[in-house]
Amino acid sequence: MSNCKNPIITPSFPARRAEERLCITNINIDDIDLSDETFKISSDKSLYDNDPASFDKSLSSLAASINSIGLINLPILQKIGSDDKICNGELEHKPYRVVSGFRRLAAVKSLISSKDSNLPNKILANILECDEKTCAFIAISENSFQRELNTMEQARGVHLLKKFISVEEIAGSSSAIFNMNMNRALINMLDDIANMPASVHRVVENERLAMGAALKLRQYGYDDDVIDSFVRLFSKIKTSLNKQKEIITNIHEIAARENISVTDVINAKEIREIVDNSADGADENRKGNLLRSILFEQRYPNLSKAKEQFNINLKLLNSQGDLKGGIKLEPPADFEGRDYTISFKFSNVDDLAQNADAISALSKNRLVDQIISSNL
Amino acid sequence: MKIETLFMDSHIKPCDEIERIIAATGLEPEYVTDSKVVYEHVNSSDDPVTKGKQTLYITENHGAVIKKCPGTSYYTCCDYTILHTGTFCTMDCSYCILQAYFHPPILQYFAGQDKIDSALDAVFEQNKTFRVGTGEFTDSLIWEKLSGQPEKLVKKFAEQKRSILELKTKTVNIESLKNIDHNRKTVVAWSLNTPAIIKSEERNTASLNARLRAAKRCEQWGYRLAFHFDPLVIYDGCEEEYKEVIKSIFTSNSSDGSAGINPESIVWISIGTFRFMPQLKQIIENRFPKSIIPYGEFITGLDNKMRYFKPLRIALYQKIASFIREYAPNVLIYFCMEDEEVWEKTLGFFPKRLGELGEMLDKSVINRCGLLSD
Ligand code: SF4
Repeated sequence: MSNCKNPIITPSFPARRAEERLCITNINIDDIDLSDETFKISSDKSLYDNDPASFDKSLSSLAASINSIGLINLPILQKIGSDDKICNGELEHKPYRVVSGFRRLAAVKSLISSKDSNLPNKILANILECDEKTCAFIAISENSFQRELNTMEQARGVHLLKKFISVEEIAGSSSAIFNMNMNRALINMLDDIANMPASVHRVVENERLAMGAALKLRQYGYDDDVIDSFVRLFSKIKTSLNKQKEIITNIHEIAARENISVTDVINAKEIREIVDNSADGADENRKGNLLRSILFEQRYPNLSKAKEQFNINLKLLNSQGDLKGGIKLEPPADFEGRDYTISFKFSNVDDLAQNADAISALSKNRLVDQIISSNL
Repeated sequence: MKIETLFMDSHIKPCDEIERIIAATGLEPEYVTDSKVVYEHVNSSDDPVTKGKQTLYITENHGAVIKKCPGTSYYTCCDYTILHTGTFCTMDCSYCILQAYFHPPILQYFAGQDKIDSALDAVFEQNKTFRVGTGEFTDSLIWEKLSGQPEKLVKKFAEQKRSILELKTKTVNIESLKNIDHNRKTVVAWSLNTPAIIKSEERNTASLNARLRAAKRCEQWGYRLAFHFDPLVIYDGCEEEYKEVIKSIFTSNSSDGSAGINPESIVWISIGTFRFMPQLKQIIENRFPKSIIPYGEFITGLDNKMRYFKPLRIALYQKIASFIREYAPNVLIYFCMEDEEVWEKTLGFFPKRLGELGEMLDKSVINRCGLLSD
């Protein structure tokens, strides 16, 4: 029987069962099992992984705000059993768990436990008496209609819902729950991310690793140790999604081709020297680019050499003054075709004539001839 | 690969051949009026490619029976003609393009010899040399043990003098080709590779020795032969291994004492390094997780297919061509889909004119198969 004194609404979405009730009740904060994160989808603390002090600061700001103006939005709790603290004769069992408002409750708890606090141990909360499925819907929509969920929050939400409804049903009700349309492919991807180790969740959350890159790791079926090696790598460099995917792919393919482990590739001296470089000026974007180029050289040694040779020849042409007036010479893409490109800019007919003369001279240049007819 | 589901187009009239195929599967056919049912059955699987190999659909060819081979303008094409007798394959090669080519890939057997015969009559009526093959969308001989189709085709081609049939295979299913008056108008062709590649990449195919023994038997039955080194795969030590394969074509086999193949019996040898549509890579990764063939030094070719970096292709081609020349200096070697630079640097010439490569191949079959020239 509910101890609800003030029933105000019965949630109309999604299930409508007579026993589902929401009411505001003043309860003892120690009766809330704050360690139960069944319905937690928000990122909060993990977003501050690299900066725990900022997390503490943001929590104290929230606590200060609650202290001065009170709780504007009440937390939502699920009533999970009788008020008795003994369950099955042995386990302590708190009667409420959090559906929404983990951060608010943490702030209130910190207020209450602060040294000079004389606040009562009570909090006003919305109490739900309904099944887990309904709580899951509410937990997600409470967040999604207040702000845009990040990738990990969407992933946790999908993972939570999959316990109760099918992928098709999630897709069908995604706009009502997630405040966005999700198709089956996206839902499956998000669930895949949710099934990855916590270390991946953290880097995805911190935007160190893009969802597509995380999925690439999953696609390769790596075990947790290998994934952690990648996580460490991406924690030290900064790159875009496509570059992350390129890095993962090249590492995977080098390892497969050389018949060595992926961690051997990641831990190779030349890679570590780039990634672990913490000297001044070793900025993370630059480290990312250096890593990409060294991996490209390992993955495509012959193509890299050909490109390098072309650049040496180009420098020679430049140093001899043969590429005058900003004339550019470009090889065929990956040296597959045979068409070289020359380009230049001109703003008047004199410029044009000068470039034409320079190009005419180039056509008689032995080095140019060598470049074009070389065996690479 | 074992067939697990058998669909039958309800419009197909039963005949001995179809009954034999049905009996061999040991399955009760599910009759369908709409091929969508079959597509859905295959597409509903997490691995439609494997499902497609386990699902036989006996139907009619609703499209063109005769097709021109789809070449591209960037690489030289051989002007081949495809006779469309079925799709997909019961064998399972990691690099098989058909995995990515059909949507979804389904093992189809096309019933209806009449339709094939009339399409061929229209080809034969033209006063032109045609090289016609059944091995582009399937393996030419996978159904040979059950269906009389290869035999019928051989006999059909034997009746005319301007075209040849090429049966391209990785099987050793040749028994029904014995004792037929083929009139040298059929070329039996094998795709060859090194034992290492056959073992790691060509599931359920015949071994190299078995293929060569079968080729030798066909030669003894008077058939002309062809070999396709396609795809050549670049890996450490591959050159030596390909050299051994080439040697084993032409020299006697010490284990069974069979003689080598006479170069005069060979109408052509094609060579082509591994190339693939980009979407095939993920299919290989998913279906053949141990395969490392997609991890060569590939670049995007002018036709948007992935190809080995050109100098690597040229280096291997030069070796392969010289190994072949050692045993068969006069045999026609050609590239499937390569450009002028590759031809020039490997074979010393380039069939520049449109249709020139096709004419070279025509000339070879005119000479070796006794065709009438145009
Ligand atoms: S034998 Fe040919 S058709 Fe069959 S799977 Fe292999 S490559 Fe594909």
